[in-house]
Amino acid sequence: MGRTGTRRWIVFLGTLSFSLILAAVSPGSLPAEKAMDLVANVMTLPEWPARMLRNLVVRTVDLAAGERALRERIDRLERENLVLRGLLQVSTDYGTRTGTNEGHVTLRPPTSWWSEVRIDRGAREGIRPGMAVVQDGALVGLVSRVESGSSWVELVTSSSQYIPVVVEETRDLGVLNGDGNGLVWLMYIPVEKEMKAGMSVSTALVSELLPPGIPIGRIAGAGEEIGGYRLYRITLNADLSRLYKVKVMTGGRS
Amino acid sequence: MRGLWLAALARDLLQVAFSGTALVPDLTLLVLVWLSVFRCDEAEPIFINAFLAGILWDLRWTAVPGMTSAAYSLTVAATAWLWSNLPPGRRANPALFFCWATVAHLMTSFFPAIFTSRALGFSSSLATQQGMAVACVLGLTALYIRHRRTHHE
Repeated sequence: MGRTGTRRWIVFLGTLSFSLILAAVSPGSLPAEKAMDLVANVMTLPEWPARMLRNLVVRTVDLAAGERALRERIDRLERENLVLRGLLQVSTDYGTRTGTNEGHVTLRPPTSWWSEVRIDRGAREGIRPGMAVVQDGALVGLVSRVESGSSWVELVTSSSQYIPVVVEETRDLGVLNGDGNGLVWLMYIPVEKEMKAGMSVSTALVSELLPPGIPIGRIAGAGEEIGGYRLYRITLNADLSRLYKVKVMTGGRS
Repeated sequence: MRGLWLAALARDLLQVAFSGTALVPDLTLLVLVWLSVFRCDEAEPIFINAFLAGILWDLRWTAVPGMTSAAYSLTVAATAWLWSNLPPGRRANPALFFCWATVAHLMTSFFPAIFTSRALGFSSSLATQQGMAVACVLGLTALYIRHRRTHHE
């Protein structure tokens, strides 16, 4: 093997080993996430024409199918619904600017598939940590971190996500927690209070950013008993396997 | 190497345009196969550029930095090794080039499954991507035939 051949092998093994080390240690690390945000911000400008083209095509298709009017109507109804639910359940003021901001999922790390996604809406669009993120009106997660042009959403299936919820039929309060593998559990329901499959679960009053009454899912079945409380498995209303477009519920007070 | 970076940019823009609709074929990989075939005796700069292009793609789209760059490095190494060991008569065979480029594209599409606990499976979007990739490889093979003829004459 000549000197050129040896050099080629060294360069190959160097790039390969460096790549594998990076792949092993970087996912989920803060420097890697910062680098991803930086690249996303840098690419905003060159990607602008492609984004505009995509939006143009989507709008044209929507118009052709007569969906635009329907979507606006749904948006208006969702806003009204939000205000009414707030009025019914609490006296907290969520502000008059309560509304939704539609965004696209731009990144979903395979190593934390059921934990977080990144969307293309950020501080510039008024997004703040703690805001609710919905898909077709059902909660998918809460905004956890905000950059200028993007935000990270922690999904309801994340094992570090705890959301106070209420069982609509019985008004029993509990806490929702994911297992990080796609399942969601309702916790802290006393054993003597038996919940039935099919009962609806929605958000309870937790902060002035997260409105109460956002539908989350339905009770699918009872789980194990821990310390006098029974776990219940929840089937989500949102389809997290087809998470492309979401809406962030803006407004409210932090 | 300008072609490689133009292909990387084109792939990124196409992925933005088709976001949520389809997976675009890996144009960067196809250009890397092309470069490795025609510059198999001086592959060092191709490795470096393949690594950088892979890292950028990972930071933008896959969130596993190093995954795509490892796949690219392996592809460049395998292609350069294969082509430098082929008898000169076989190198001009366009069918061999077509098959190798298609297989390389297919293999790198499944490469992410190694790094994640969940296998990606052969979904309909992956099938569409491979279909579009075959169309691109056919075009590249046509260029390959033209390039060979021009240089032969």
